[in-house]
Parts: sequence; structure tokens; C-alpha cells
Amino acid sequence: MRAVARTSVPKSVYSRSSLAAAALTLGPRARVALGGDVRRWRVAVFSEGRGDAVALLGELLNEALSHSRRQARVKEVRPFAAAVVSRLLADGFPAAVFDPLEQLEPQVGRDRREETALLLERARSLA
Amino acid sequence: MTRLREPRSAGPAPARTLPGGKILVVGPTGRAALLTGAEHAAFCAGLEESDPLRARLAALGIFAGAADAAALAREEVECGRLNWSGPATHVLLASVRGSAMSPQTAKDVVDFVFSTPRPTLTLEIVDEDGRGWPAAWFAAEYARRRAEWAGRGLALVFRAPAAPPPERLAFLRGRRATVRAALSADGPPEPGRLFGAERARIVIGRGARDPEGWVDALSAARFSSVSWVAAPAAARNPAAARHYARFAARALARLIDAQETSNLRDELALGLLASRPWEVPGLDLLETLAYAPDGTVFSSEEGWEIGGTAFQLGDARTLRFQDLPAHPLVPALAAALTRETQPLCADCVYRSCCQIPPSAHFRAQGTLYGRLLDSPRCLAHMAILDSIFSRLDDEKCLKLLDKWGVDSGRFTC
Ligand code: SF4
Repeated sequence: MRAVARTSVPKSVYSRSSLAAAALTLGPRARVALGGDVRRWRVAVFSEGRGDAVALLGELLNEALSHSRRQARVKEVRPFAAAVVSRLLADGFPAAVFDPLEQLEPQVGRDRREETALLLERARSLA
Repeated sequence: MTRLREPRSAGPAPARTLPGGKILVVGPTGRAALLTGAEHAAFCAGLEESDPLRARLAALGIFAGAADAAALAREEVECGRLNWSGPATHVLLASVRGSAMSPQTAKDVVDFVFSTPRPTLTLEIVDEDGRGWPAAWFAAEYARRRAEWAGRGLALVFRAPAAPPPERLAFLRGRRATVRAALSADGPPEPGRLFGAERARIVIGRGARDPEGWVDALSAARFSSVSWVAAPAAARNPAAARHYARFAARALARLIDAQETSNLRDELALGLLASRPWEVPGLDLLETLAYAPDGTVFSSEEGWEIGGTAFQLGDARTLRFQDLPAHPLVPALAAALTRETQPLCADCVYRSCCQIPPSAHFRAQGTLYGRLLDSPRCLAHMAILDSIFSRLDDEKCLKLLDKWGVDSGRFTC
């Protein structure tokens, strides 16, 4: 098991934002350091727990690639995804409908509240 | 309002070589055909207008101009998120990990459950150690009344790891509640462990053996359904995930082969085959919500199990269903549940039926989206769906699907 693992990867494949997003997924398991020159990133992963730094580095690079592919895919299907998500959020959560019977006949509401209070009392006695 | 462009030509149809060598080809709404290698090669090379295979594949909706676009669009809308009308299953954790819910909190939770819009609800009450019985008793009684008052459908489920005392069992039977046994597949499926329940939720850990024996025992004990759940270790450990996937696939194969004698249904397989997100067990928010003993609302039971606040939506006492879109987690879940934006799912043959709860992705890989290439849950879903789709030309498999009420016509074009 190694505590530190380092590598260098091309900037043309791994964007800074995808490496940052990937680092977040490692959470408290590792610390990630990023440096580099014009063409390549130098990446170092420091294991903060019992995880092997080499495995954590592999996970980081997998996640970074996955993230950049997802961003590209999101761009491709943006109109469709946006339409579905916005419709779901706008129309999918209607307010609760009040029982018309309780509104027309207040006694019904009072009876039901009384019945519920009796049930609660009985439930407490079961403890 | 965004206008979507109409497709001008057919895109590549996702395909997958299944165990046994046949190739599954799937259209955009999940209609599927199982082809031989020669048929698939002919399809890839380009089919003549008069080729009978072309007519068969046209039913999938993969040739532009030859598809019934209106029917496909209807299918997509009926099965899709736009037809969602609130979560179907509400998991009330009356006692878990040493904490018990009070009857007053159970009331707040049931009130919140009935503020969600789905006409028919399932309330699953979990009483791990028996100390949640006052809350469980109250929730069952009160939910039944609320359903009656509102004219709504209600299915009550009581989940426990061991047989409840006889008077509690009699109460549950009297309320037409289904008893669901919470078991572990470590060790053999002795009849005593099944305690006369009707449904089972069985955790598959490293020690789980003999899926065929479990299926036979559950069938013999007249269980109506089983849900195989991966042990937490399977979330991060690939070997444990593969063990779970193999177990679930072998259990399903046994069910297919024993279908004449068994009434047992695999809940996950059935939920996936329904191709509707609100039927995929444990799918955060779309299928389920979970309520902790203190009344905190979580997007799923798995979200609660993870701990912390990542999947918390609020407090049942104060939360209003209509306010959920303003909670930061909800748009994030909605985006993560859009399969079309997942690079691998977008090209996967199982895209139209398969969904993975974002909480499962988060637990396994630290993101709501997951990384499908090495996702343990994707591995399991593929194994389960492979074991069905590879036998679409097998009478036994089709009979099982019919028995489960699955529209197998969509899968055998
Ligand atoms: S999660 Fe895996 S099996 Fe399911 S649709 Fe995505 S890639 Fe396919």
C-alpha cells in the first residue's frame, strides 16, 4: 500500500474542472495536488486513510474522464434534458388538495381530529 | 419553451452480445429484438426494403420514416418522468439502529405522506427491534383512516427481521398488512428463518450461498416476492459487487426455470422491466421517500443509511411537498436521474428500463451520477437484465414474464 501516487496527464484530455470534480468524489479519503506546464497536468494523490494511493489515483482519473464525457453528453442533449427536468420541477410537485368534505362540514374535521387523538393516546399506552 | 429538433435519420441502435451469443438490439423506447450473429451482421451492413428482418426491426422504432413516431412518443411519455405523480413507496423507520419513532412523529409522517399526490400509496413500516411498535401501530391505523377519508389506495407493509409476537401479527393481518421479512442470505434458508412472512428483503453479503436453495425455500414457503439487496461492502468492493450480481442472476435463472411451481417475483427485476421510474425499487424521490425515527425526510432508505445530511429533504412536521423543487437536492436528483445525460447509459441497451438510485451511486462512488464503467450497481443491473433478455426466445422466460404481468410484447419484436 502506498501513501502517495503521482502521474502526469495531457491537458487536452483532462480539463481542470473535471479533475477538480473528480477530487471531490474522493472526499476525506485523499488529498489531491495539481501542478503542470503548458501541455500536461502533474497530479499527486496523498492517501489520508487506509486506501492505497495508486488505487485512489486510478479512481480520480476514471472519475475525471467520466466527468468530462458526461459534460460533453449533457451539451449534446441539453434541450431534451432541460425540457424534461424543468417540466418535472414545475409540474411534478402539486400542492396537497384539502378534503372538500372537511371544508364543507367542519364537524367532520372535528370528529376526525378527535378520532386521531384517541388513536394517539392508545398508541402511547402500548409503549 | 425549448423546441426539440425532429430526427432526420436513424441513429445507431444500442446492441449487446448476451450470454449464449445472441445479440440484443433495442429501440429508443425499449422495444427489443434478439438477433443471431448473422442477422445482426446483415442489419449493420444495411437491409433491403423487402427484407423481413427490416420489418421486424422497424417495430423497434430504429428506422427513421418507418417508425410509428406518435406511438413511440406516447410510449415514452407514458413511461417517462413527465407522467410521474409522486413517490409510490414511503418507508417509515419506526425503529432502526437503536432509535424508535414516537407515535406523534408517526402522525406527522403519515400526514406528510398523504400530502403527496399519488392516488395509491405504499406505506412500509420498519420495526427492527420491536420498540417501534407504538409508532408502527399508530401509523397503520391512522394511514388506513386517512386513505379511507381521502378515497385513496393504500398498501401496508410491515418489515421486521423476526416474527412479531402473535397479537401483533393478528393486528397486522386484520389491517391487511403484508409482512416482509428482513433477512440475510448468510447461512442456509431454513424454514424457521422465514416465519410465515409473504415478502422478503434479503441482504447478500460475502457469506451468501446457494441462490437456488433460497429461491426454492421462498417458493415452498409461498412467498410472493423477494428483493435481493447488496450488503454495504458491495458498494465499494468490486469482488463483493460481482458476488452479489452473480447471486441475483442465478436466483433469477432459477425462478425462470421453476416458474410453473413458484409464485415468487423478483422485485428489482420486475421494477426494471416495468420501465417506469416510479416502479424501480429504492429510486430516490421518484419511487420512494424514507422517514427517520426523528421525522427527518430522506430521498430514500439508502440515502438515510449513508448518514449525514446529503440526502435529507427536511422535517415531516414542516416540510411541504410543493416546496421540494426549491430544495437544492431535488433539482440535483432530477438532473442525475436523466439517463440521457449519462455517457454509458445513453448507449446502453437497457437504458429504457434501467435506473440506478443516485444515493446508491453516491454511496459507491461519491457522486450522484456514478461512474458506470466500474459501478457495482450497473454490474448487478446488467447481470439481472442479461439473465432475462438472453432468454427472450425461451418459452419458460416468456411464461414467467406473462405471469408477472410484464408486457413481453415490447421485448420480443
Ligand atoms: S446503469 Fe448500467 S445497465 Fe443500467 S442503463 Fe446505465 S449502463 Fe446500462
